[in-house]
Amino acid sequence: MLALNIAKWVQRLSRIGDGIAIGANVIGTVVVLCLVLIVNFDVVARGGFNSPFLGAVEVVQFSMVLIVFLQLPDVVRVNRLTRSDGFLVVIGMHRPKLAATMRHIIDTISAVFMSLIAIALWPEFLEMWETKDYFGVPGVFTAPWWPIKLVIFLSATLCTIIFALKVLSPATKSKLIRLPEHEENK
Amino acid sequence: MSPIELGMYSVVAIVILIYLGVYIPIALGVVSFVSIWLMRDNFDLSMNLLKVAVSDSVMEYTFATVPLFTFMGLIVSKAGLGGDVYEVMSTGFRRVKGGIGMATVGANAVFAAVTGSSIASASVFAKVSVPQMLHHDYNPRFAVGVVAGSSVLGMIIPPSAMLIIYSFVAEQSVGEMFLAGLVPGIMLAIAYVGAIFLMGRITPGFIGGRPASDYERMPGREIASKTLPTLSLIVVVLGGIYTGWLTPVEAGATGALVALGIALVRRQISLRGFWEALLETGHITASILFLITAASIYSRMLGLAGLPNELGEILASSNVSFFMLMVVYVIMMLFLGTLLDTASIILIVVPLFLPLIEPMGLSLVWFGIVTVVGAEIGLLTPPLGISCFVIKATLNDDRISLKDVFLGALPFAAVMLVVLILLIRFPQLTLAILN
Repeated sequence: MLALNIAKWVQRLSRIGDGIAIGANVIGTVVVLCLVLIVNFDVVARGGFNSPFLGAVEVVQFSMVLIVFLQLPDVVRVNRLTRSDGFLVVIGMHRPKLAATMRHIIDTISAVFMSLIAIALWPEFLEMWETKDYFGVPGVFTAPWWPIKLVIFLSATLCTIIFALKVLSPATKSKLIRLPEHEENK
Repeated sequence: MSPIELGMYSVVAIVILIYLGVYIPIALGVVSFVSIWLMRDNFDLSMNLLKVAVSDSVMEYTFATVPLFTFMGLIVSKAGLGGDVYEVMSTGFRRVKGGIGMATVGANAVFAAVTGSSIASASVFAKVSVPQMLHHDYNPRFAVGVVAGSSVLGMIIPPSAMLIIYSFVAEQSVGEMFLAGLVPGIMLAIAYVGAIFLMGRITPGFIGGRPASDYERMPGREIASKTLPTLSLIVVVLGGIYTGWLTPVEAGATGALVALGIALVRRQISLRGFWEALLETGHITASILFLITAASIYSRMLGLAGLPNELGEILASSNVSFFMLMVVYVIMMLFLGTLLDTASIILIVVPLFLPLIEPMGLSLVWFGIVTVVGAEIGLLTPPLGISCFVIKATLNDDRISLKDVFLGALPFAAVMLVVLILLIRFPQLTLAILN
């Protein structure tokens, strides 16, 4: 009974975690589009009107952080984090239990590592929040540091949770062949 | 244990963990973290380095090239530009033995100049040109082999994600790396066409196929409408970088917008397709950059251990020749290429070898091209030739087994090796364009 309850809770938590990851991913995706538009705006403004957008470099740096860390939890969720799992698949054919255990161990290590990142970033965020430090060239364009640290902290925390939930839920069999997500429309 | 020993054990541990199936960035990060901690007996130092690596390495301005060129490549695939170029090429090569194969190589070379990924090339051309070759009675092994072999052009001819990654590790300019990739890429394409021609003479059975009877000239207008969009993209992107008018980041953004415009004008992209491309761009960017982040912790660890310098000293004292060093390097790449993807190979191996290459007075740009070509051979070799897997999965045809794809790709892997040796022997092939 208790085990059943725990399983149910894990499932429910997984759904919430996945939901947040998908939401963050959508925001990150919009940032990709913004990146394309901002750089083009700068090119046109500079080339056509000789008035470059002064904060372009800082905005690009900022959006890179957003893209990477808003999407990272979703990458973890859909199992697209780079790995070479040929060996696991081969083992899984003969010793499915062993392979499942190995997957759980790997996900546990990953959860620990992501939590270390979160722990490392938290004091950094607090410090930036208090000092209101900024990056960029003073007088030209500056942006505060704290949102960057906060995004990384939240992302690492979410990744930790998703990895942990992967450990608690039954191991999924991975496919040896990972197709590109897109297909040519012909 | 001395730091150097620890560093060496760490490299071995990372390779073993990766082979066992640990996520590559996690393996790099965890081992480096623990190793720094043991080396200095200082947990806080490890945490500090972790913090710096995670928050700083993503902030690199030139990394914006990764999402921008990925997005451009995805849009271009969706707009069907690869298939168009292929159709034009195939009318040109129809009458030669193995002509469709040569056309596939040619179209891949052109398509590679607007996309940065071998995976994209492999999946596009597996669908476009393999069925046509089978229709003309080509040997199925040859048909899939050509597609696999020529897909690697995607990562050598600029824009290429691998050249971007190398330029970060070795602190070289992305623009220079792009320009340097041009000649080797074209050379490889020509070598492929030459190899197909020779196979047609020496082992016609391997190619198979019958001469096309329904040969028809394509009207000039059609040729223009099928090639101009791709050509204009190439002019914008490579031309912009070459003239120095655009930085690589700006060229990527402009290229992405132009590609989007082309897709819209040709009505070949739906809102859904557009969103999917954006989504996948984000996923690819996040996983590549997280890998780079982890690799930057790893290279800091190597630096603390003093491993690269030590290797350099051993090398200097034992008078290892340039030739032997390159033999070891290439063998190492081939070995790692059997199971790792190209990006991971570059990130693991390059930091170890850079301090050996620099004092020898060799160009790091040249070394990058050698590295990328060498690591790409792994895309074609079993057991984990990623290009081959993609082709097998895209075709989804029971008549063609994975073994057929690998065997078909083997001659092309051999051609790559020959080209690699030429590139190593004659660095000016790579560097001439820069001067």
